Amino acid sequence: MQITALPEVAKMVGANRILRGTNITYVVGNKNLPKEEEQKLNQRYLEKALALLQTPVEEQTIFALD
Amino acid sequence: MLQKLRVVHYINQFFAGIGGEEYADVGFALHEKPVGPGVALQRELGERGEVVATLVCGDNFFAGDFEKNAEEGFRMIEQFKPDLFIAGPAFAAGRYGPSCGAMCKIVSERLGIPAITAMNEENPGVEMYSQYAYIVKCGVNSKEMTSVIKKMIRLADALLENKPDPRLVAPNDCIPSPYEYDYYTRNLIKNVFTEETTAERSIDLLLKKIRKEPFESDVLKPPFGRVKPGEPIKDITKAKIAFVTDGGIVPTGNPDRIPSRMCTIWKEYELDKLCPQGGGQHEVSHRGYNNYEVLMDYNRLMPIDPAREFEKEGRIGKLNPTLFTTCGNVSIVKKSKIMGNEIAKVLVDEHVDAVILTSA
Repeated sequence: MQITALPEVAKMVGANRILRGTNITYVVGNKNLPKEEEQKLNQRYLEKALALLQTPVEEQTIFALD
Repeated sequence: MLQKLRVVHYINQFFAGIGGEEYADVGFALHEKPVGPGVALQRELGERGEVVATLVCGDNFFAGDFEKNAEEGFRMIEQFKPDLFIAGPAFAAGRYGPSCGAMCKIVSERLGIPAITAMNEENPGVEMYSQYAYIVKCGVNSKEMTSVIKKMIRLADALLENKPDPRLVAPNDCIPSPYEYDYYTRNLIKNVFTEETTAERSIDLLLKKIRKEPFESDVLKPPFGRVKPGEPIKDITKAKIAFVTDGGIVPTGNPDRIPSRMCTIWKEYELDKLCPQGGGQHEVSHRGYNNYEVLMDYNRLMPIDPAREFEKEGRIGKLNPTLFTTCGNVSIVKKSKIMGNEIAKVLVDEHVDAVILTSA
């Protein structure tokens, strides 16, 4: 699976399980959050990534963080 | 009178009339006459040419090793000194197509003669060999045989004529138009002289596009292709997970000189050395985004620390001890495909079950 702030590009080049990231400069973080909150966000991205790895997909799909 | 063209034809066991799937394992055989669709081919050639030999091989046999078997097939037909090589048509047949493609590739490379086959767009042989062989477009049904052979011969005539094109910088370097002759583009680019300047031609094309008129672009879209989605992981608590990134993270000092744009190399680094908890050992070689945030915390590019926790807690089987990195900025598609294949091979060798790829 791929996490990227530019999911449309990932789709164009052929990725199948795509997760939309926060921002180009902090894909799975957020510099505007307090440290602790950002760590939680990191973890949520990992949880979602692992969930997608266990999700069957038939075609290219862009997912967002819950 | 001109000498008759010597034509060699390649077909599979099915079209040679040997049999279907139960005979797909038969090896190479040679016939010094037209066989099966070769009869229609001979009819289309008429007095201009003669099918001097037909090479036959079982689909399974050939598919065992396309390159090696193409070599063997080539050795058998070389003696006939062909002026033209025809393979198939293979329509949508998934083993027959690549076999035809592999034969055309080796014949055109070794003998420098036109080598033509035909396939449906669904045939995997198109993706594998359209760069190396002239593959005429066709449907899925062999009822089209005669019309497809006509198209192949029309293209053969154009290639053999090699009519000098005064527009070309090298006038004898003629390539028949893929549009006009209905074959899959080989993505070959040639320099031509034109009456108008680039600016004039660009505006002309743009206006056509705006008016929704048909036009042929000079720029080829890179072929990205589609990949079948991987099966979902059944038990993530037993899976080995690896991080791959094109965000350009590298050890301090960038010892392997990973370029920050148009990168064609990738590296595998020990995760704990490149990204020890607390950081301080990495920098970023990527001129496509502001690296400051990732420089401050690698977890902004990849959720590495949470993955370490998950490994300890048994929520994932194992975190791969190495990280794969490259820089995805103005990258060349062709090179990126090569890098992707190389990385995938190492991942498989290291028994990695799943990958989290992050991109800036």
